[in-house]
Order: sequence, then structure tokens, then C-alpha cells
Amino acid sequence: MTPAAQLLIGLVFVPLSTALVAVLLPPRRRRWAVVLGGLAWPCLLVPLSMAVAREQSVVMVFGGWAPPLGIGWRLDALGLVVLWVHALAGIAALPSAWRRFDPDLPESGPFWSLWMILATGVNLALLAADLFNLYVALELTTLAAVALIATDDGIAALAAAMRYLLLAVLGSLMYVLGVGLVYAQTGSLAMHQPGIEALNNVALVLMLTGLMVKAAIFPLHVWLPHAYSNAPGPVAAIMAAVVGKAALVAFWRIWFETAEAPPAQLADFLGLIGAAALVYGAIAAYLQPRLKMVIAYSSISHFGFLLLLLPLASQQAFQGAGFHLLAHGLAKAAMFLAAANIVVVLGSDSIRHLPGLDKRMPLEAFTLALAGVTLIGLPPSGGFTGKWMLLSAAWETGGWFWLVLIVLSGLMSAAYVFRILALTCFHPARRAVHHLHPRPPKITSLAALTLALLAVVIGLYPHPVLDLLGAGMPGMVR
Amino acid sequence: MTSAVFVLVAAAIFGLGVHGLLVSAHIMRKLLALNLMLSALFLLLIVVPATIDGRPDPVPQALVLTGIVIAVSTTAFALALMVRLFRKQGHASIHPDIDPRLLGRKAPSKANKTAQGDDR
Amino acid sequence: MSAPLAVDVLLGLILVGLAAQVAIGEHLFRAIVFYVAFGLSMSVIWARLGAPDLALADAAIGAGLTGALMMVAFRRLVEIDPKQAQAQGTRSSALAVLIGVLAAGMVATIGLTALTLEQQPGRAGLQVMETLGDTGLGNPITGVLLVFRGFDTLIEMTVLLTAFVGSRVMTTRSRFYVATIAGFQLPLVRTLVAVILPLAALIAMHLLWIGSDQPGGAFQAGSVLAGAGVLLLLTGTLLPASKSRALVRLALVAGVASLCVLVLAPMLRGQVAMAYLGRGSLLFAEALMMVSIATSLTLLFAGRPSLKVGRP
Repeated sequence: MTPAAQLLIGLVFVPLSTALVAVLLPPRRRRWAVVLGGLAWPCLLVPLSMAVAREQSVVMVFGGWAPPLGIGWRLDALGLVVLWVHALAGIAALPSAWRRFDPDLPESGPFWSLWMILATGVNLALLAADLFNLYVALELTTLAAVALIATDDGIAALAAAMRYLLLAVLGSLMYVLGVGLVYAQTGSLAMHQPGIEALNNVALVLMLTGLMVKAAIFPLHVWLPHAYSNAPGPVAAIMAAVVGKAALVAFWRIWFETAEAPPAQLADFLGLIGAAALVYGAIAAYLQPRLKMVIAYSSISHFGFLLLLLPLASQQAFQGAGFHLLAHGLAKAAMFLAAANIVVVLGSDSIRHLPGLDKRMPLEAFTLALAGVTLIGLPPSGGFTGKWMLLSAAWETGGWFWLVLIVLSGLMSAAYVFRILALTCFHPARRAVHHLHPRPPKITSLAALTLALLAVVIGLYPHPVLDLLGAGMPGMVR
Repeated sequence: MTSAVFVLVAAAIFGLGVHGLLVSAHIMRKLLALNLMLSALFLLLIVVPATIDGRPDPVPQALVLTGIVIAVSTTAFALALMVRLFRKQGHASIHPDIDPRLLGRKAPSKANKTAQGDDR
Repeated sequence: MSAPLAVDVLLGLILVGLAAQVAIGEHLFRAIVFYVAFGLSMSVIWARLGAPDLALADAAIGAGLTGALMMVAFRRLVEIDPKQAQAQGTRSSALAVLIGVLAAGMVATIGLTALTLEQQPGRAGLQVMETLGDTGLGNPITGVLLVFRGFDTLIEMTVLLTAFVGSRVMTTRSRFYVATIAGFQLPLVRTLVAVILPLAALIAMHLLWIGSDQPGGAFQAGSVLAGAGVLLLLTGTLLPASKSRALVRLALVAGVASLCVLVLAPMLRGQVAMAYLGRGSLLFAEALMMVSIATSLTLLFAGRPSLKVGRP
């Protein structure tokens, strides 16, 4: 095995072994083991990034049994980008989790083990080059995520977790049926199926629909707002940053790699669905009375935005979309971590309590502002780079509809971001909340702020990432 | 011919499961319906692929076995979640999916929520 | 496989009838019982279709253990609030029936089209059959599960573990009803346990051992043991315990850990991850998987993180 392939194993087995050790340890020691594991596996990303930059992908096959007999893994630029989001968001969420789940709480015991299990599942979903392996990875991720949401013992969180679970099972059903049909057609479960002219469209639609449920694409998004807004802070952050994105990455991979020449009408149709999601999410975000709901609906809007890659299938669009994944993931995680602190101090995240936040909690307010800049896509943030590349791609292919839509998305994001910021900074500070609870440790605020800063900084130095993504995906126009 | 019969059987079970999922408010009924749908799909996965030298294809069988274990795990967890939810909110159903606040109305009051559960 | 068509149609009708009782029946407990019957009929159909491993697994896990878990969950609901737990009617509507019919039609169309179009054997399946001889195994399903696609099995075991850890999130906070219904004072119970327990252990060991060459394997063996565990809990021979014990935690983790060893050990010797190490390695992993499966499922039934011996 090449050294790079051995590192790939580490990406899944370091979190997995940490989880196993965590289950074995008594609750007091678990936090330490999980924090160590959570800091250890990201270290593997540094040599892996260099390997991917050199060779464009790192592959590995279990047991030497080449697909379709066995299972393969593949790390490409897209997976690497999301892995970085996962690593950074995971590390930034650790202080918040440490504070929130100290060992005196009964549910903190399972929380720490589940945290690592979720990490295992997400990493695996990003590496999978086999359709059924992907299914099992997504099941693991979903189950761990639902359990993590349920660690908040409120009715809202438990009900949201249940709804997420039921819908996710429905999605898995459709996905599995699609995979079965693919096997019936091609006899292989590998994601990359060389030599077939056209994948059975029914299988494709089934698999994509199942993944749309998991990625919360409108209109199959109904589980997301309640799940994100009622989950504990660090859980919401990691879910917004990577869990939905893993399903979206799988969606893209199946579209571009498995079904190498999907029908153009389907691409346009899915682009329209993305457009609908974009508009719906933005309008809903504007109308929400709770901060975490605003952020959640904003995620729905941005996931829809990312679906525009399908009709605009070109290398430039891919670079833009991949970059947007990175910037948006960092910004969302930052916003949820900041919102978590706001809930702790103010007692609720209702926007009626936000006026005066810039004086009371300046770090959090600044984090929200910076992250908002990325969401809107203002230069020089990372969000701008992503949007700009997608705009260029739309311009070059003459897709005026998509062009207008991309510009519109920026405007609509600005609407709900400015609404929050205006309330926070410019509204006269009404004494809505008299009693402020004790502040969480400063490191939690700084972690969120760092993520938001990173999302902006990568916009200043986009070229390493853009070059990585330059390989594009199979079936794309150069 | 046998395969066609079982395909129709799987389709009927799937349809029954979908119907059960839609009409039941109780979470355990929804879980039962989902399990029916899963079983129907597994049946389809075994019946449709061709045989290999007269012996059935082992790969779909292994996949279905994996699927059964995952289904049991998910069901077991869902049942624990349901019991906890029942203890906390007094009934075992989940709220309707449209968030009324989205439409500009206030969230349903506690009295309304319990009434919904009592219909079932 | 030359049974007359009439038998297949009869089996199919039975299955659909049972499914209808599950989906439409008014009383929830009745639906659960019919689900167990449905699962057992499914295993007859698996046997009919030439999938004996699936028949064993579905009977034990799909019908038996799922049914037991549902029944104990229902009982817990009743313990919390008897009146509300009974309020489980269904509210049918024409739209729901229409959607159900459409869904059935869609699946039927997909299935029948797939049947008529593709009749070539799957490439993966062909390769499995060809390469099986190299592994020295006789059961191709074990080959797929533990050798060729062993990594899927590792993650599947992790899902089982996650279900347990996830349920702990709920059970740490509340006292879950203890499912003892017949204690040792009844003479029949003593005999039952004395007979069933060794029998179950024997069957489990047998299934584990022959799984390499005949239908059977870790999942079937583990679920038989889990069934015995459920019996012990029901009779009070074992009781749920709140204080988590190291041995129990070890048993839970052993399955995933053994598969991790199968993946990582070859790497230490310079080979590819999860390179085949021989039948002995598979038996080692399957034995530990059996222990994990039995422990996880029994604990999920018990609703507590550990078990202790009950006083007869």
C-alpha cells in the first residue's frame, strides 16, 4: 500500500478507534480521549492534501479485491475540501462541546462517543467509491446525528430528531432501491462505472431523491430547520458544516461519475429545484423570529444554490461550487457556534433579544457579521470567490436564467443577513432581557470568530484551493 | 414467472406500507410501516437480479443481510427515542410539518397539541 | 426450485394479508404481533427463493428480535400512560389510499421492467463465485460479507453499536420498564430456561462454526444468543442493571474491534488493508461479532446499560 493510502485508512480508523476507546472508558475520561482523537485525525489532512495536489486522487482497495468484487475508496479534491471543513469545524466546536457536555450531565457519556462516531461516518461518506458502502456510511452518519440532536432533552429537540430519523429512513429506502437497480443493470456497485452508455434513469432519480432528503433539498427539507435549531450548539455547527454536505457531495458524485451522461432536461429540472430551494430558503429565513431558524433556512437556501452546478456543468462551475462548499461550511459552523453562545447568555435566540448584542457580546456579533459577509458573497470573502466562478461559468455557457438567479441569491442573502445585523447593531437597545446568564469561556467565542475569519481569508488566497479543484469531475466541459 | 409473482407481492406490501405511513399518527405505526416498506424492497432486491449457474447471486443477499441488521438497529434506536418523547410530551406523534410561524401565525398552543394526539 | 406456481401465489397472498393487518389494523399491539408473523412468513419466502442465510437471519432478527423490541417498547408506553398509549387509531383518507396505490404501481412497474430487461448475471456475483475457491470458503455469502465486502460489515457492526450508544442518550435519564413477566417461582419457567439456554448456546455455536461453508454465520448465531438473552430477561434470570460494567462494554465493542483488527493487522505485515488472512481469522472475527450482536440486542431490549444475575 502506498503511504497515502495508509493515511486514508487513518481518516476513518482514527475516529473509529477513538469512539471504541471512548465507549470502553468511564465517562470522566471520555472527553479527553475524544478531544485527542478529534485533534489527531485532522493532522492526516496535511500530507494527504499534498498527495492529492500531486496525483489528483488517492485510491485504495480493500483486501486487494478490485471492484466490482471488492470495495474501493477514493479521495479527490472535492472530498478533501469537505474534509478540511469537517476538520476545522470539528476542532472549533470542541471548546463549546467541552463546556456544554461536562461529565456531570448524564447524557454527556454517550455524547462523546457519538461525536467520534459521527466523524467516522462523515469521513467515510466522503471517501466512499462504492454505492453500497456510501449507503452504510450515510446510515451511520444519520443515526449518530439523530442521537446527537436528542442529547438536548427538550421536546422540540426530541421531536425534531424523530422527524429527521423517519425522513432519513424514507430517503435511504429510495437510495437502496436505486442501488439495487444499478446492480441489476450493470452488475457492479462501484461508483465509477466505466463503459455503460446511460445509467437507468429510474435508478438515478431514486438515488438522487434519497440523497436529496439527506441533503435537505427543498421540498424534502422539512426536517432541517427544527433539527438544526433545536440541537445543542456544537451539534448544529457540525451538522450544518458537513452532514448535509456529505450527502450533497454524494449527489454530485453520482451525477457526474456514475451517470456519466445524464439527460439535460433532468439537469435543468434539478437546477430549477435548486432555484426554488434558494428562493424559498431565503424568504423563509427573512421571516423567522428565531436566530437559529434564520441560519437553518439560510442553509436550505445555500444547498439549493449548490444544486445549480448540475445545469452549469463545467470545470469553472465546479471550482466555484467546491469553493462555495468550503466557505459556506466554515461560515455556517461559525454562525451556529456564535448562536449557541447567544442562547446561553440571553436565554433564548429570539431576535427580539438581539438589539444591543454588539455591546453585550461583541465577539459573537462580529462573528455573525463576518459569516454573513461570506453568505452574501461580498468581496473579498470566500463566498464571493465561489459565486464569482459560478457567475463566470453561467456567462460563458449563456445561461442567463442561472446568471440572474445567482445574482438574486446574493441579494436575498443580503436581505436576511442585514435584517439580523440591523437589529443587532443599529436598533436602539430595548431592555428586552434583564438577566444575562454567565458567559461561556472566551475560547468558544474565539473559535467561532476564527472560523468566520477563515471563510473570509480563503477568499483572499483562493488559488491553492481553486487549483486543487481544477481537475473537475468526469463528464464536465472544460 | 415466480419472480413476477414476488415482484407484485413486494409492490403490494410497499403500497400498504406507504399507506400506513401516511395515515398513522402514532410513531410506532410509522415504524412498522417503514419496516414493511424495507422488507418489500429487500424482496425486490433478491428477486430481480439473475441467478448465477442456477445458484442465487450472493452479492444482493449479503446486501440485504446488511440491510436487515441496519434496519433493526435503526428501529431499536427509534423505539427508545419514541418512548422518551412519549414520556416528555404525553403522546407519541410528531407535530405537523408546516411550521405555522412561517406563515406568520403563532405556534400552536399546548392545548391544541394534546388534542391532536387524543384524536388518534 | 421447481415448486408449482400455486404455492408461490399462496405464500405471496399470505404475506400480503399479514402486511395488510400490520398496516391497517386498528389495535397497535395486534399490528406488532402480525408483524412478527409477517417476518416469519418472509423467512419462508427467503428459503423458497434460495436464500437460506437470509431466512435464518430474518427469522431471528427481522421477525423475532424486532418484534420483541417493539413489544417491550409498547409495554413501556403503557407503563407511562395507559390511556394515551391505547389511543392509536388510524385516520384513513382517499388521498392516502391513492398515494399507496400509486406507490405500489410504481414499484411494480420498476420491478417488472427490471425483470424483463436485465437477465445477465451480475459481474460482482460472478467474480465472487469464481474467487470463492481461493479463500477456501464454501458459503459465498460469508465470503462476500467478511472477505470481499468485509468493510461494509465493519460499518454495519458500528451502526449496531451506535444504536446502543444512541439509546443510552435516552435511557440515562429515565427509568425504563423492566421486562420481567414470569419469575422463577413458576416451575415451568425453570424447566424452560434449563432446556432452552443450553440449546440456544449449542445452536449458536453450530451456526457460527458452519457459517463458513453452509448457511449460517455470526449474525444468525448472535441473534439466537440474543433471543436467549431476551428469554433470560423475561424470566428474571437476568435483570437490567444501571451500573455499566467493563466486561459488558468490552462485549459490545468486541465485534467492531475484531473487524478493525482484520483491517489493520495485514497493514502491519506490509500487505493491503483487510487482506485475507485465512479461515481462522474469519472465525475469530465472527466469534467476537456474535458476542457483540448478542450483547447489543439484549441490552437494547433491557433498556439499561448492563445486566446482572437475578435471584431465582
